[in-house]
Amino acid sequence: MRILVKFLANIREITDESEIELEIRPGDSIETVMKTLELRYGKGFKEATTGTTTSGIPNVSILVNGRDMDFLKGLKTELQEGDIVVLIPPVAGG
Amino acid sequence: MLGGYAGKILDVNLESGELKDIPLDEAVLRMYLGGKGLGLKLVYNEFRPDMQPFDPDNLLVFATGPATGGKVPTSGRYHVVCSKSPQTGTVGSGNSGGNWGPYLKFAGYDAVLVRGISKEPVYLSIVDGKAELVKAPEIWGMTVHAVTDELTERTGDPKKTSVACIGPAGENLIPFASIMNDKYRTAGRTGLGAVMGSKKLKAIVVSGNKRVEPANPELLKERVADSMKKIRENPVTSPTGGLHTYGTSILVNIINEHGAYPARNFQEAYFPDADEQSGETLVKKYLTGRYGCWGCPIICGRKSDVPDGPFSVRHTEGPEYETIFAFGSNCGIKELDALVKANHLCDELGLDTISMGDTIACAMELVEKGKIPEEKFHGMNLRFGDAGSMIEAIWRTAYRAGFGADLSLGSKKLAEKYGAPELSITVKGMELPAYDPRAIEGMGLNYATANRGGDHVYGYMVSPEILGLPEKLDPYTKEGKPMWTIILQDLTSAINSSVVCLFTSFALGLPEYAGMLAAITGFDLDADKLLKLGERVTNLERLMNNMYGLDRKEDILPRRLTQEPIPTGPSKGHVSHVPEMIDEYYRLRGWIDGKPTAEKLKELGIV
Repeated sequence: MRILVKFLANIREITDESEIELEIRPGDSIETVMKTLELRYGKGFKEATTGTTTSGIPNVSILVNGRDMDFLKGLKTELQEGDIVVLIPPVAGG
Repeated sequence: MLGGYAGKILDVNLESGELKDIPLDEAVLRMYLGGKGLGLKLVYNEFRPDMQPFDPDNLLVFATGPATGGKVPTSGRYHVVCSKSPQTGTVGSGNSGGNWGPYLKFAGYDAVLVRGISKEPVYLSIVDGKAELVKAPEIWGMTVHAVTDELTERTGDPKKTSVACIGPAGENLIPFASIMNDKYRTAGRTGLGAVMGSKKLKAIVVSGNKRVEPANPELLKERVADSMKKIRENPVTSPTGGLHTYGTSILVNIINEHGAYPARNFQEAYFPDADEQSGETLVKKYLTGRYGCWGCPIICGRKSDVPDGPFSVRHTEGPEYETIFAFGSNCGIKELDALVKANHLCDELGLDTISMGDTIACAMELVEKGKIPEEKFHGMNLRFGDAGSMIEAIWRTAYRAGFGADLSLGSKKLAEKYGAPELSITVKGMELPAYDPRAIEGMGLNYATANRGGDHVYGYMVSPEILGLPEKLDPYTKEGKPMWTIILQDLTSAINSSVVCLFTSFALGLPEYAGMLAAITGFDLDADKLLKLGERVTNLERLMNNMYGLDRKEDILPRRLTQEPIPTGPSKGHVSHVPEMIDEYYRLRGWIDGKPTAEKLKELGIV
């Protein structure tokens, strides 16, 4: 099964690519994918996508097909063929 | 005098040429603070329900607040209101950054109230406390940048001088003309530039360096330090944060990936080419530097340059997220260099980019649906995705040239003229910003109820519903949204009366704002009292709109957004449920059918 992972803002600067296709196995979750990405992109990526900022805001929001994982099953959300996963750091505009 | 205020308003009668100093009324300040609140109160004092937008007694008020030009971070802002907007028929309202607000205060005034119509073009000069009306037919017709350079040079010291002006669009009474200051900063919405143009007032030049003292400097220092720490630690507002690094256009990809980025006149809510016009791409291809308004630690403005190609433009600023959407995805255009150019043209001509872009998008759909005969265009090829014709449409609108005369009507009257009113994506006649409310329920309720029409910064529900600030709300649900919308609308009314930048609200809350304002003014303010003040401002604006005849019939979204499901992308199948939320909103507001009750007005001390 293949999924598409997109990187936005400063996370893109760490990965140096805007999106990648990933091969996953049935039953794989967001958590599994994040571990795969940490291995691929290293410590900087892990720091940028785990925990919270000093002001208590999560370092990353994760969408699956446009839905924030917090309204799905969080990191345990299982992924399907063709899913689009988007990693968003805490940014805003107006 | 109270801390934070210069102490007087300049009352300008353009008909008689009389200039009067009016002392500030402390009782009014305690209720309305300054900025938007003060401006609305001044308009309300002389309110006439049969007012027309270009009547001489349509008042135009430029107002700073107690925070403007002080130690508070992002205090470089001011607010403009007018009695009646030529675009919406409501009270007009806009807010801008740059240097103009602080320099007005440093020149000796908290606000300028303009009345009457001049017989010939003039500009108002306020230099070191001395105000003067200057006849200047020779500057009528100048673009924003040219007149700014000219008047800055005439006035002298550019380090303490700022120019707010209109461009040709304001002179030509285009109903969505803006007031520009410092060349690129804009009180963009509701056609305030057309009201200024109707008065034959080309510009207001302010110059001064007399600072205003706060009531309690030591306490203010302490509270400002606390707020600065929060701004610096926040990932959105910090000096290396998202706003500084990428600007507001960082939202392009985020909103698109949520399936809420309107495209092709809101026919769609996902734009496959969005990344080509994103904040990330702008940084990579065209960014040359960053711009910060007076006293701002965030510095979110873009300096940009397109060195060559058909859309080349040198040493400009922007574009912001809203502009990228309006001329980009909403017109089906992906080329970012064309959007930089479109933004520059609007800044020079003095046009609101959201209304201009959306009106072009509406025209493009009218063309697509075969509603406009081809001969109307005189050779223009206005269709989705055509960047060249989009650019041409902008200058044609400002000068009402050819089909530009139709575009200058704005999308509501344009769509009505060609027999398809349902294709105008407006609320109260004002074009909608860059968030599809079918995918963000609370934002839809905010659009529908905003006093000045389709307005994202009336109560920025995107913050909790998409960005998760101050807490994360599900954008697809209705529950709790009326309450949140009301809180954010009233908070924004308070911020616009202070006046500070709304972007601080990503890092600060009511306690921080109230604490700093209390130290500046000496008023007894806390979080609850400040929110109540904001509620008073929102209700006063609503009361005047009610007196113009507005009620629940105008608190609605365009039919497309409640009836036509999003056809593609992550939010496919969604429609807005505003009609199911509006009664709860009114109930919580203490309104009946869109009107504050007598009890509510009495409780707020408005009547």
